[in-house]
Amino acid sequence: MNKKAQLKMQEMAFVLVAIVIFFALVIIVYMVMRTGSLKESAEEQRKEEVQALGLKLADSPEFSWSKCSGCIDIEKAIALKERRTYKEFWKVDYLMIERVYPNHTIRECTRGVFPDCNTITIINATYYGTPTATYVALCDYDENGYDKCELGRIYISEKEVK
Amino acid sequence: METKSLKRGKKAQEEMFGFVLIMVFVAVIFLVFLGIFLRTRTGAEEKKSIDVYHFLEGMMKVTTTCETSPKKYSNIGELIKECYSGVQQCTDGKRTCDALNESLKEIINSVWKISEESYTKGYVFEAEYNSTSNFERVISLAEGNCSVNLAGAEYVFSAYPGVMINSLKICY
Repeated sequence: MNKKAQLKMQEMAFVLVAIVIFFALVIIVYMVMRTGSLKESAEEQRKEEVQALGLKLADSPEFSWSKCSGCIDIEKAIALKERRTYKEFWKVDYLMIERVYPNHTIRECTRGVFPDCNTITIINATYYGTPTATYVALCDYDENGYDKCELGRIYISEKEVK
Repeated sequence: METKSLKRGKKAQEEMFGFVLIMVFVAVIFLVFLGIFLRTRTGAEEKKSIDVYHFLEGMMKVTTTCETSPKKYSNIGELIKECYSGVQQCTDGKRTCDALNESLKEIINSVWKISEESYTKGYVFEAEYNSTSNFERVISLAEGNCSVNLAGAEYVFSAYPGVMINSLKICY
């Protein structure tokens, strides 16, 4: 009888251990999934912040096209590219504007080749992280002096906090 | 003898009941877990995309080849309004809705590079006019395969007395 009771207690202990292991596994799997989604949302939020910075820059007096909010004046951007004083003005390691639509010749813009070019690199530090891009409208006057806006992308890589 | 056999039978029943109880308990936990997992996955399939929103916002300002009045080329946003009102035409005689259709297809295809081999398999673009008294679809464009994952956004601008709701869904 005593032996039988011992066996029962052993059985009970095994069941309890199995249940604890099962719950531990469930909690571990849940935590792994939750951490993964947290990392993803943190990355998403960082991306959104950089995109917001891009839009803020587009609206700043140094870039903005006066006739439309949130539009970049391409000629201002080319002029800024040539000014060394602006390299440290914004706390970014990389700042580039790409002309997306309509298509243009793939080369860096300068006063000499504009409008036959597609990128304007304003800041390009030696080391920078993966740039985040956001769509903006790029505006200018066409050959007849009419307003002309096209679609572009502004690439930014923020300075790393040391 | 019979009492002993009955006792053993009852004990076996108790064991079976315990086993079934544990199985049901585990199954319930599994179902709850599966429910949470599936709910998260459904959210990911219909993701709101900030990229698509900024694309729509930028696209509305792109100047088209449709000259609606001398020295005035309409942008996409203005063309959507003109297509809805149906009053004006481009100076070359083209209907504003046709000009809008062409421009939209060209811009979306050039940016998102829609094809079976590409990462982006298709898109659905819709512009709808909405006011207190009226709701009307202005334009609807679709291309490619849109039965998989979607990333989309809505961009709304004023079109007095109502608003123009523009939505773009990109299919992966």
